[in-house]
Amino acid sequence: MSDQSQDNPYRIFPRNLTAHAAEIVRGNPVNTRPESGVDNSHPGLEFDQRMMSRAFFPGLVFDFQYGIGAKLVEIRPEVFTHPYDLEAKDVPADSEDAKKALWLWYIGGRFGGNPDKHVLKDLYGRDGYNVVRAVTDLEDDTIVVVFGKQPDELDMPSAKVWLRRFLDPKRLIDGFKDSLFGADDGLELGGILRDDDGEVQIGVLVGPRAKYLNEEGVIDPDLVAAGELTQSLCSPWQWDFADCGCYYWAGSKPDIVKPPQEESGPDIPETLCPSDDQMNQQSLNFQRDRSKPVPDKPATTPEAWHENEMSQPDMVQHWETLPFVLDERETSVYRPTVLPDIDDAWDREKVREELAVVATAEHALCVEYLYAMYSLKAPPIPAQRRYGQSPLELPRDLAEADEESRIFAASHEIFMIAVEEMRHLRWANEALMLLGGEPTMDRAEVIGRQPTQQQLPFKLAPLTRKQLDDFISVEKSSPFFAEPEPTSLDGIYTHMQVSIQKRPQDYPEPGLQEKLLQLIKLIIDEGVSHYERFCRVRRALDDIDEADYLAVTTEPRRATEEHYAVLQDLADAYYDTLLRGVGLTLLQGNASRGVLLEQARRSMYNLHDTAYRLARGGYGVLFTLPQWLIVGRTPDGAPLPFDPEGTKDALRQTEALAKPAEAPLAKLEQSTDPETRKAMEQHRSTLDEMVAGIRRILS
Amino acid sequence: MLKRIWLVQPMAFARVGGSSTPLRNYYWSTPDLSPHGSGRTRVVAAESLEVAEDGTVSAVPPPENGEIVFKDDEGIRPACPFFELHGEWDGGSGPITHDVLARNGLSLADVTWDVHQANHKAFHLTGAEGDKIESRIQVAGNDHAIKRLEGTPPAGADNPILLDGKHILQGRVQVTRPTEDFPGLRLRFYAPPGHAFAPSNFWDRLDEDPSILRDPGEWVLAKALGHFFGRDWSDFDIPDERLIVNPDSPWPKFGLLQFDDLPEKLVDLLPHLGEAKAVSSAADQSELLRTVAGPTADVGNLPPGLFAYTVGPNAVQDGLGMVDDMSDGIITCHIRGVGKAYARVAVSPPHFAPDRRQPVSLADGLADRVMRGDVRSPDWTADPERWEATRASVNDLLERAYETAGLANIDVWNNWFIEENSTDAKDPDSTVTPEQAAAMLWNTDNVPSVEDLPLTAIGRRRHRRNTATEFFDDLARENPDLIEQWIRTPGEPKHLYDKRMPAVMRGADRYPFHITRRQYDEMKAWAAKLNADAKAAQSDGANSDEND
Repeated sequence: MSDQSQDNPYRIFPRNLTAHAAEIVRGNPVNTRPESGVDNSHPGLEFDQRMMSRAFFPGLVFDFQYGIGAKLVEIRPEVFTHPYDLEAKDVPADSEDAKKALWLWYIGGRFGGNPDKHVLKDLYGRDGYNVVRAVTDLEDDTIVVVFGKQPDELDMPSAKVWLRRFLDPKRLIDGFKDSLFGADDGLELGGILRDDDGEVQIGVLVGPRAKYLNEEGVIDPDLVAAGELTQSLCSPWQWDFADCGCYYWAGSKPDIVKPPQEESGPDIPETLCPSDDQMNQQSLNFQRDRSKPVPDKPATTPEAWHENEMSQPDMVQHWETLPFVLDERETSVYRPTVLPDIDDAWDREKVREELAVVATAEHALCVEYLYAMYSLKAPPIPAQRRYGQSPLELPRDLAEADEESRIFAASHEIFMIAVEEMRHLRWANEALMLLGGEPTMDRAEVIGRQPTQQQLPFKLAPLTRKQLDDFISVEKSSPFFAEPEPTSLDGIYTHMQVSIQKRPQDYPEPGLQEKLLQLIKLIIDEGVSHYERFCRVRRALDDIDEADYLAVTTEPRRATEEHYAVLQDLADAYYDTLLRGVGLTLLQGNASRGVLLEQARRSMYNLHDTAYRLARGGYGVLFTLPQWLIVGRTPDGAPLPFDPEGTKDALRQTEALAKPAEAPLAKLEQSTDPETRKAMEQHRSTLDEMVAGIRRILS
Repeated sequence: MLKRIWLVQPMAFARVGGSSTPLRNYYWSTPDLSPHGSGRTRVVAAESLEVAEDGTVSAVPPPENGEIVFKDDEGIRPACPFFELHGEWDGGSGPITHDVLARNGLSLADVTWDVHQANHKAFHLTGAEGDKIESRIQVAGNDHAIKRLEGTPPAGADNPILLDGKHILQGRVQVTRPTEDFPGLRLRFYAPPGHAFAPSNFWDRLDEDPSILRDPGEWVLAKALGHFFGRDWSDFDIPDERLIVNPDSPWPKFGLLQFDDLPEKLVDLLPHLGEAKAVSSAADQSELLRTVAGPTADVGNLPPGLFAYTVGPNAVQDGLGMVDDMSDGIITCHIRGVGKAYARVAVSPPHFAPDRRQPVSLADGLADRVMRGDVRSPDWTADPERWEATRASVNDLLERAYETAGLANIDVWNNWFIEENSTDAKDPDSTVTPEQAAAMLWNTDNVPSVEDLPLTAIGRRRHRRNTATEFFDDLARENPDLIEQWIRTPGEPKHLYDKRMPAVMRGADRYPFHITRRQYDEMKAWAAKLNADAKAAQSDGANSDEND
């Protein structure tokens, strides 16, 4: 069966499965398969795979729960690959006494970190967890295992001779690399040293690491007996289900979930924004005590999260009251969503046309959001948004934050949304190019299609409540994707998506349909998240006067002061450079797209800084569309794509990248204000890096 | 001639549940990329098989509405896997059927199924033979009745864990009857209901629990520890018919950290107070217990304390002697004159989020143990078909990461491990300060967001983007060291939690969780080829420009 996702409806990847594990047994639900089991066994849920590791050397069984390493607890001579001089009774009967026990000293072999090199790992005295780690990392190859009494307990004069002879690490490793038994210099590998009473003091065994599975892919019954895979799990199992302190069992034990559908409101609220309850949909602790009221907000600290959880005794008694969780929602029955059908699935050509439309809309939204974000009276967001560099200390509960913090959080959220819109511009263009279209960097005049009330003209405006509500409307999911001529942006995307799903014959190229569906679905999903986050922004600014949170209160206007006018020219120049950078990146295709994007971002950093400088004067960025983009439209209003040859040539003239910024930058570098001059040095440096970087990539 | 036989699935989980109706069949399918779909793996109802009392198998088509019932009025529907016998014979291979047997001079009477289940959880901690609970049954190939797996202690064992005459139902099995429609040889394992059992003196035991008595006068130390470790049993109930554990067996008397030993242990601990301090966070309770117990103490399991307990009257963790009907076992099918085929079954809890998959599953772990080197070969990505298979595998891993992240309160776990990091850094041998250790994770006080769970929201969005192959390809081309920088290297010695992926999850060795070596090396092979191809395309493009 192919591994390809679309041809692989069962999500089975035979290359990644052991013998016979890829076979589908008729009638078996997928949750009976090992793919549904959790491997990070601490101790695990279905079984503890570390129990296999106990027998990493066939014939020896170790336990790992000790602070000084692993103890030999059993010898099974019947599974030795070589007749070692060891019997089951050689495990000391009183090995509960650590001094009488036999402990793992060394493992020699190849390990995953450096699989070409043989090393000897000193494991005695190291916590048992470290031994587990080392054993897990062993490669499937010949290994050396050395075990013995605690070194302080060795009481034999000959032990030292033995130690010198056998346990020189270099000789040991070199020796066993050369041969299994008997080496060139006569070093005899493998052996057991006993005291006068016949008790084992030291053992050195050489042999193959356990295969773990037999030839038919079954965990070797000779290695791991019945009962051993689950013996380290909790008794009763429900206790650990509640007791486990950390989260690592997504599929088996969900963490944070949505309430049952009957307790939720409609997926698309009738009001502009959902109610507070509906906003906090996925906020419930799956393990909560359902007899107690749920908190207003989900916890962010472990103490609060674990408060009011089912206790261990509760879980033992009531585990079957737990619901199942599908698509993050509690339920006991899964019912697939039935999509409304559409009668007029768009063909490939139409999809391509619509992609060009939505790409320009994404460009427009990005710029609208940026203008709005820069209009806020908030400290600058660090350009590269590294966490921990926020200029404000924010309380965990934004509702308790002061106005300044809430404005800052709002501005940051809008900035992230704007950046995501830029990604949507890119993805829409990438999808367009996958269909053989030419990318477009144009900017829509209308978000969506004319002429209904669901469309909004492109407008740069400060983040007034009206503008924010308009943003929310644009991003709100359309319930009407089944309409024949969708007009909202979301409606266009959803109609496009359903069309591609319904017409696979239009996308015969291998993997093409899947790539398109992934990209468009990602844009749709991020749009949903933009809607929710704008609603949260609205809530954060709800009780703050516009005059108190806006630094820029007008739509774009030309600055009257020269300093700010030059800054506006500079901002426009960076906008130009950014669009050139993105356009050039798209034209390069897969070859170097990612690398170029990193360079293009540098112009964004400069634009960012310039916008904040303008806001201090109460001005916004003009976001003047560069001349080279104003190439006109087709008679029905569709944007013209790049002139393929002309624009490519123009874009490849990399000196043009920095040219628009030259004049305004030069003026500001002569500013009488030292802070401005210093900032422009940084701008110059960033711009130079960008141009040099792009030239280097293209050369 | 029938040469060899084997069973599929080689390993299956039988998931417990109280309903008398087995869970119907379903499978995982491609992500729901419909406009308002989840964007994640879908579950799809599939054809189920039913087995009548006489062993006859019939097919049940999936419901027309695609519905899958996981829980009904009786309880959770148990997953009851089938095991099919397959083989290889002269000139062919495939399912063993009645006809295949006949062609080889055999019949169902020559087939024997052996099922051996065992619960060694108590035995593993006490070492007492009588604490094992095992069932074993042999069923002839022509015996199609349902058989019970009644788990009991070994015959003749001292102080057996169950009262005389009592057993624990560890499941049931049924050998199906081959028919024209279903000619194959099959065995079905019916999971038990998932019950817990307790000693016959259980209520007396709870009466001794100081945290319930609330009598600090007599149990001062226990009370203090009860506050830290104790659990509230005051509302607990269990049916009398499940009070069948023998109170005189070793298991109900098992405990960790006996109070009598504590003074000496605490004295031994004095020179190591720094180490104890380093495991004093809420996340480190089990490590604190190990530290107090001492480095040579046998705490039984990693982590220790995996049993129902009270604090006191004798130990910090006084086991209550509870057991369950879980087990793991070996199914053997023997054909006379041919040989044996094996499979393993693990009785497991339900899979409560059926549409979610693990980033590292037990299947991945097994592949890493036995097939790790495959992905290192240059052939792994050598031709277009294998390259696409590698891409699909990497994409699948990213989807599983998204599925996992989508159900996590990442904010909580981030703060959980911040506390563990900063406490661990108090170890005398630590090379970082607690503040530096805390700073290795996200400081959510500095994540400016309007979301209630900022880190969770950001983490989910990032994981979501990664599942789009175009996006992740670009990311890897943008940063050729993406894998090394952002994916935790398996087996590295760093034990503090940081931002690399998988983030804020614990591994089997108590280190930060990592994907397997095999998964990691495959990702690296994928990234290397992606970037090599990008470089080659770039220079082709440059050459083409020169030639224009």
